[in-house]
Amino acid sequence: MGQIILGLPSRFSETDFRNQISIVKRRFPIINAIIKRGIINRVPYWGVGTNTGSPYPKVITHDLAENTDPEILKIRKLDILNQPMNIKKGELVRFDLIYTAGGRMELIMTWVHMLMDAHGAESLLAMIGDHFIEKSDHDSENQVLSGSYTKRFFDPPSSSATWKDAKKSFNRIDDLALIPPISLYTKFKQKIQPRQDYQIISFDTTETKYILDLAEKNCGFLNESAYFISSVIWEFHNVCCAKGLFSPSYVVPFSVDLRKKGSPLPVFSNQFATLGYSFQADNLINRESIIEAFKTQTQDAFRNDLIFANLCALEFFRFLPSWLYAKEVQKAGKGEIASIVIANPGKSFSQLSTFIGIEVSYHHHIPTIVIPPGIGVVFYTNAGKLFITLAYLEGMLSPEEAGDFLLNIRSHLLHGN
Amino acid sequence: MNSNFMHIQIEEKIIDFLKKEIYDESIHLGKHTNLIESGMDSFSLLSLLMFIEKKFNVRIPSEEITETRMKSVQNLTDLINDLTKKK
Repeated sequence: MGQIILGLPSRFSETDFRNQISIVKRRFPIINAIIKRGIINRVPYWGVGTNTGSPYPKVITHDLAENTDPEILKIRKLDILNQPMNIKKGELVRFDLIYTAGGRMELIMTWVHMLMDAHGAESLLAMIGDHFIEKSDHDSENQVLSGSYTKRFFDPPSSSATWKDAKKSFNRIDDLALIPPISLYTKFKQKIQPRQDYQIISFDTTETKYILDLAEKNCGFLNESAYFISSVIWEFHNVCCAKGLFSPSYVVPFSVDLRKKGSPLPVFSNQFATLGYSFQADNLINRESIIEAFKTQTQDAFRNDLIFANLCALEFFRFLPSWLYAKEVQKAGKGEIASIVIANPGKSFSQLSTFIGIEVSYHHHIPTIVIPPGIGVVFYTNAGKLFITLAYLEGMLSPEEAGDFLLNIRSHLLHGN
Repeated sequence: MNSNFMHIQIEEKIIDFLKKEIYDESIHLGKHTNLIESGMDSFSLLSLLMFIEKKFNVRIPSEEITETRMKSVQNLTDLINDLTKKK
């Protein structure tokens, strides 16, 4: 699942909001579709339009206007984040409206990742916020854009998936598993709660520009991901050592955006692949050694067509029955092939600068993290400012440890020279 | 004339790759199109560099991966020609 939080300085009409959702729901019935599987070929697909009379997506209001204790707001937001979705009945998107003091509000959209990625979610939210909804760009004839995209959860590879190609992806996982990491999740399993927490830090526009300039200086042109990852890995290593966890490697799944540049956003689709990176002791000498390890593995991934291999592997996985797919995923996860998840989806959708005519004060992304590893960091920019969200399972880190982790990442980013 | 022809061939091959693999068909791609402003990111840049390495047998050194050199197909072609002459 994923979450987007919009902070608004004033409140929109709830009636207008529900009307907008109804319009979008009629136009794009995939947003409360039920997952079905082909009887013979077992390929999953969206049962679009079969869920008539569905109450989803729900809009839930929370009135905290009389309560000025920020801790109450934080707890409520965590409750919302940890509230499961009823996917079997077509709850793929949910909205929570939190009314706070001073006439302000927060809009929280929670969605199931099978339906769309973060860019798609932003586009959907922008549609509901009264952008594009009547424009011809979002033509219901356009299957991918409109969401009458019934057949797949992920976009298929550009040419036919072969087992030989898919096997490269599995081979890469086996390579990573040769020096398996030990995750914080495993070490502290007895203390960990099945409940996610998160913290966010931000940088102003001057700091953001400074960081991006440092990223270019340290990692090369357009390579801020390497800079971000090096800061996270360095500080994560420090966190693990401080907690008495000495892992032989850190394995990091990192998402790659596969969208063709300049394309109108395909809303109900997942347009990314995941590359796995391994960082061992000799990669952790300093920032430069981490960056070098990241660059080398990225170049190898491209030389070996690993992105295409990952898409092929996903294609083959889709034919598995759900229980077998879950078993395979669990097996891969149990083998400890991830230490921390990192993502850098880049700039947030500019059309979310206003929502139902109200200027958006802030725009946050909260990922829900796969367990294991149960911890992840996402970087994103909005209105020229960089944000970092750290998401983790309660008990894995104390709030103080999480806060320090983020502050140290901040310091590491700002002192790259 | 021969080197002009080669220059044009290189440009065409790069444009062909960019149209097929990196940019949506709605983006007009010519030799002067600003590739950065058209949305190039780190992974698409790497994909392009890998293509150039395989297709033209030229590895672009990191000090040449700059905004100026990567800005347009024409600039990239000039760079490829410069590196080829040095070999």
